[in-house]
Amino acid sequence: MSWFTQPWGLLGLLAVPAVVALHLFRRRFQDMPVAALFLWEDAQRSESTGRKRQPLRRTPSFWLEIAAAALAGLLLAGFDPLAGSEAKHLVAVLDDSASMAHAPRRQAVIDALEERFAEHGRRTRVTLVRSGVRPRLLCGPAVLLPDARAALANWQPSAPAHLPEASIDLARELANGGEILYLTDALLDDPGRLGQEVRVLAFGESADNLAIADARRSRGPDGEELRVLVRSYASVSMQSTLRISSGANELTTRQLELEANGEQSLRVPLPTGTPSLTIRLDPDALLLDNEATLHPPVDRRVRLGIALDEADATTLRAEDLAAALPDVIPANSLAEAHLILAHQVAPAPAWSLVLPHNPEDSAAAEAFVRGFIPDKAHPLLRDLTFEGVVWTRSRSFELPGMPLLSVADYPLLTERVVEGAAVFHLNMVAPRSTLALSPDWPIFLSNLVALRRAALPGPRAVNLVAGESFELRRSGRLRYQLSADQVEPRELFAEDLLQIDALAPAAAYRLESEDGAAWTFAVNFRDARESDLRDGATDETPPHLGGTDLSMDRYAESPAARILLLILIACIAADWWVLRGTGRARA
Amino acid sequence: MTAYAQGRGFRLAIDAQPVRGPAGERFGKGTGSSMEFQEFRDYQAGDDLRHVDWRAYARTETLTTRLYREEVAATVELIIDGSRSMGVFPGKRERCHELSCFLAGAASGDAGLRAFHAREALIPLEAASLQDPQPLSCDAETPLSEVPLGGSLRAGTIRIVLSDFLFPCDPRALVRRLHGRAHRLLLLQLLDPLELEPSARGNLRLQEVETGRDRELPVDDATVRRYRERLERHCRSLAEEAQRAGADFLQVSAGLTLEQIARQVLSPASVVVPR
Repeated sequence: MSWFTQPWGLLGLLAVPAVVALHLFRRRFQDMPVAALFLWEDAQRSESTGRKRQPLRRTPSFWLEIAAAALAGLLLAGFDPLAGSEAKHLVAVLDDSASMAHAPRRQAVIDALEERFAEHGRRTRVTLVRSGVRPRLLCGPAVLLPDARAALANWQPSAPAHLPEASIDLARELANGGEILYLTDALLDDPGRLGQEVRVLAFGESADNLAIADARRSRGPDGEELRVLVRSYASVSMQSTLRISSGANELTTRQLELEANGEQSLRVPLPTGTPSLTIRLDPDALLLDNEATLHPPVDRRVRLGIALDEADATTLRAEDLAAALPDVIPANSLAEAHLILAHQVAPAPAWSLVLPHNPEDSAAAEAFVRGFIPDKAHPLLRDLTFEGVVWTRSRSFELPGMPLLSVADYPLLTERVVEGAAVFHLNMVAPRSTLALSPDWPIFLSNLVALRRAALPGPRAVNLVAGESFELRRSGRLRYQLSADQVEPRELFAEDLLQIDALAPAAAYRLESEDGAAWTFAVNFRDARESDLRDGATDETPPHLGGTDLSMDRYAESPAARILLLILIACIAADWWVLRGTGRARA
Repeated sequence: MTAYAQGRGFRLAIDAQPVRGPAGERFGKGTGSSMEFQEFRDYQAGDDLRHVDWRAYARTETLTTRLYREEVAATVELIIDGSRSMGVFPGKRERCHELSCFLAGAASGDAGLRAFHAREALIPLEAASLQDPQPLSCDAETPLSEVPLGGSLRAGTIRIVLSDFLFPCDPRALVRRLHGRAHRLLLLQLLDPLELEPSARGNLRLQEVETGRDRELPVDDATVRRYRERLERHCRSLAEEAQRAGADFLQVSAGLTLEQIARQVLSPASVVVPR
């Protein structure tokens, strides 16, 4: 705890002995009229040898000048006796990116904060912000030191790479104009962009590291397999052991030796019905990227049914394309299909893509080669160009719903929802159009399947990467409970779609709904920018103030500064008045 | 009681042998009509026949005239220094005026008084101005040593010069100049207590009131001691030259009251005596 905003300003107190010295050595001549100057001339010659120290005259002017010099020094030092009685508010943004989990970096941040705590005193109020895409408070706002220390002890950085601006904005609101500490492990190209009140402290001790760069379970034609990619973020060759286990059973162990910046991948076939897998590397600089958990993937395959005329089906090559698309399987029957390509609307919950029959009368059809107006914002039309496409529409085909694609005044594609199922009407006479021959057609089908897959009930994925959202689609409004080891349980509400953001890496999140359903999913860390610990930097960038010290600006507005300034002015004025009065008296 | 009135309680007692002046109680240098015999001389045409020594004529048949000491009223010339140095301290200026009035009062009745205010020249003063309690101005830039005296002063008078004599000068020349052809000369030096014993210490800018010159001096006890020594030498040389010229020199402190001056300084020196 200090009473001084700028302790170096205490050097200004040297003005006090300077004033004393001036009074000791200066010649302040009082006017005295005399009748005979010649009687004094002898004395003048005796003084001409030089300036000598004079007895210190403790005049009012002397004391006023001493007081003025002392006050000026205190002002320069930012003296504020009230500061000790005020609880200072320390606002700090902790870079929550995973690279900060490197033990020396994390410890350096804690040490730096402890130093600040010591400087500000035990009554300090602390607000700690965890940076991230969605910044959160680690503690605060304005908690006491014990709470801040407890929160800091539990701080485990784990976020993927992100920009600090959002976190700084949050801190700025909480700091209420005060200084903000940003503790990170890398230097910013332009610290000033964060704001003039932000002091950046970087603690980026360099280290070599190995990381699980990718790990996924996939179903192949021959069954399920595990694919793992291990990458070196080291300047030297490194060795490690990769262990793959399922529960207590260790499935395989591989000895790895990676060259500098090298990588090594492996595929491991998994027996059918393999439960959750754990992949581990030997501990190194960053533990977070040494482990991954993969739960059995959810079945999100879209069952595709085709109920088109043979000519249309042949023209559209629907079955061939469905086989080529990932996670699309032909439906055994239309009743179990998720998506049906037909000439009429299928019953819900299946989605329908409805096409017209090929009219026998050519006059009943109309062809277009240009002028297509797509709704580019709709995901179904994403990446479609319609270049070189000859589009023939049926004049008699009705398209209910919202147009997604038009030509002239005629809708070519519409969307509507019938009993909760999407129905798309595509006015394209397939045998007379070239869309199926263009690259746009497989893209269109892929988009359609992706839309349908996203609408399937259940979790979108159970093996997430840090930074991804967990999504669960269920009908109705339900209450959920989310829990995991070392994660505070959360209660959530959602209707139809539950989306959970900013999940910290954890091997097993458990989500339970109020109706008894439960899901388990994992969030694994995977970010090459954070795994590479070699480019850290250690430095301190003071607040970008453009030549003005923010703390002094704030001090200048404080009551203590104003009082000191008033007293200083009063001392100077009084000294001037005293000297002026003395001069008049002599005159 | 005014200073003038106080002076009327005294009379000047300066031992004088005036030779000129109207008849009075004091003896002139020449023969006169008083009853005090002075000498014999041969009768000259026009001598008062009443003063012929007829007895001597009977014995010697030579006309001899008896000469008697002439009784004259002495003329007192009072020269008051009007330079700025006399007004450098209010007490000094006030005491100067009181002393002038006192001497005028003492001289009144017994002697003729001719008072002059020594400014750029000798300015004759009306008798009334020395009865006025309003002090004379002291603002002349010319020191007494440079005030032209010729033409205004008479010979054979009792001349009293009231000044501080604080100006650089040749004492012998000054005394001679002030003495002139006066019968008696009294140099009355009036000094302020702060001139006799300066109390100021520290860094002083000394400004000479008459010339405007100044000196910046750190004044301490040693400086003051040297000042006093020089002042004493200056005054002593004036006194010695005055004595050498048959004049009197008296130093008066303005710190004394007028009555103290009269009784403790002027009376013991036989300048005045109570009537």
